[in-house]
Amino acid sequence: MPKLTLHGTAISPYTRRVIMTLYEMGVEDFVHIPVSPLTGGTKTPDFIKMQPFARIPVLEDNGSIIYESRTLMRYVADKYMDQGPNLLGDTLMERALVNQWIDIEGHTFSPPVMILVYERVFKPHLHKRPCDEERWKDGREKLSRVLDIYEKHLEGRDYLVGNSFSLADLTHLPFTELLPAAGAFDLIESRPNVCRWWARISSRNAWKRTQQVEPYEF
Amino acid sequence: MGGVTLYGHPQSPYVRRALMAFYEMGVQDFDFKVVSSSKGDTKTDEYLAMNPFAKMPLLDDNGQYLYESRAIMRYIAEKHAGESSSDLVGKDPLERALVNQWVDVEGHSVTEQVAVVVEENFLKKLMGTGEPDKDRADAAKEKLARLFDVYEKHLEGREYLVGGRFTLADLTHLPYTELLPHAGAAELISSRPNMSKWWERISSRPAWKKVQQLEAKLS
Repeated sequence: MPKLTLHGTAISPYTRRVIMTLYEMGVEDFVHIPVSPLTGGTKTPDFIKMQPFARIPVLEDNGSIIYESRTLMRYVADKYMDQGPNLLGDTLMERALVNQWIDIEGHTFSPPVMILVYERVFKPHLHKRPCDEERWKDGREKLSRVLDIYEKHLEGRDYLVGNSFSLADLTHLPFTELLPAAGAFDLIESRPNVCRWWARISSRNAWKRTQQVEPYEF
Repeated sequence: MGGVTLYGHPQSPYVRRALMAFYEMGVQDFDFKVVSSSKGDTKTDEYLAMNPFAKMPLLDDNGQYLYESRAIMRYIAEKHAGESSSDLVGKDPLERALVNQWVDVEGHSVTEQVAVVVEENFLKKLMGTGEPDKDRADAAKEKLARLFDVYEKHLEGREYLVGGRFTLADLTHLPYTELLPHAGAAELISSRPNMSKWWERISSRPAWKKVQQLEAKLS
């Protein structure tokens, strides 16, 4: 009986972040329960007992409960370090820079992406409400300023930190995947270094497998 | 240029987070360079060459630049772990994950709402940047109340968030929570006995007092 259980629909970018890390680290032996907040799955007493903030994803590991997708990706990379690649960073400073870019992703990169996704994807398809074009344009503007910095940083670099793929890159996969549907993938395509980086990290086998768990229809 | 320099303003909650890590780990040997975003210090070519996102705090460790306050606190805690009996990070993957989990809850759920309450009920008046939006503040307070209900339950029978001792999980909450009384929202904590005791415990640490006294010391 596998001791590892991941709760959360793979439709969620947050869950995708964790599945990607599991596959990258060569962890195949886990149970996946596709709980969805959209169908009330996160509001049941059993779920709230496990995750009192009522969010997905949640990881059950041999009786311990852990949540927050970026925590889970760090945990999987940490716990399975001996059997998989080092996604955390090779030196003390490299580890710090990986953490820095994970924070940039979480606090600076993803917020405008989430605005774009909310306005162009969630509102029309889930809430049957029209996109707020002004808010969407403002999101594009904010994301453009951020991507200008990424473009400069990625000059002469294959990855955000060091010479190999790390959690710094991985953490960007799920939200960037949604940019085409949000009408903003041109912001990636028009920046050669960012475009090259995106092509490299999104063509990883583990990412292709992650996408196949619940392919997006758009 | 050798040595360790932290750039920031002593009033910034993000800078205070980094400073707390330095003081908790007993690091004496660093320079603190005051920069002010309102004066444009973080937009100069020199600063942008170090942190292109134009934010504070910024760490210069012997020519290697590091930014994002939570990345800096983790770095300082890890770098000086051998010199101190304090283990702020966690002793095994599971404990490290639980510390990270609460840092993420703070960073992605709590602080966002505290920042709204502080902006509407405190900063706008202080900086003269506009009329407070009471509805926006009230909505944020309501969200905070729901989040703090979870904290209250979690802290039942616990002195700290993780591992029975002070860790980065507690530290990361200090700077923004400190501002709640200024925003007329102290009762969010004071009405919750477990949170009150936890807050009293972590905010009375000598290192936090040192952070609070830094600005007076500098002037």
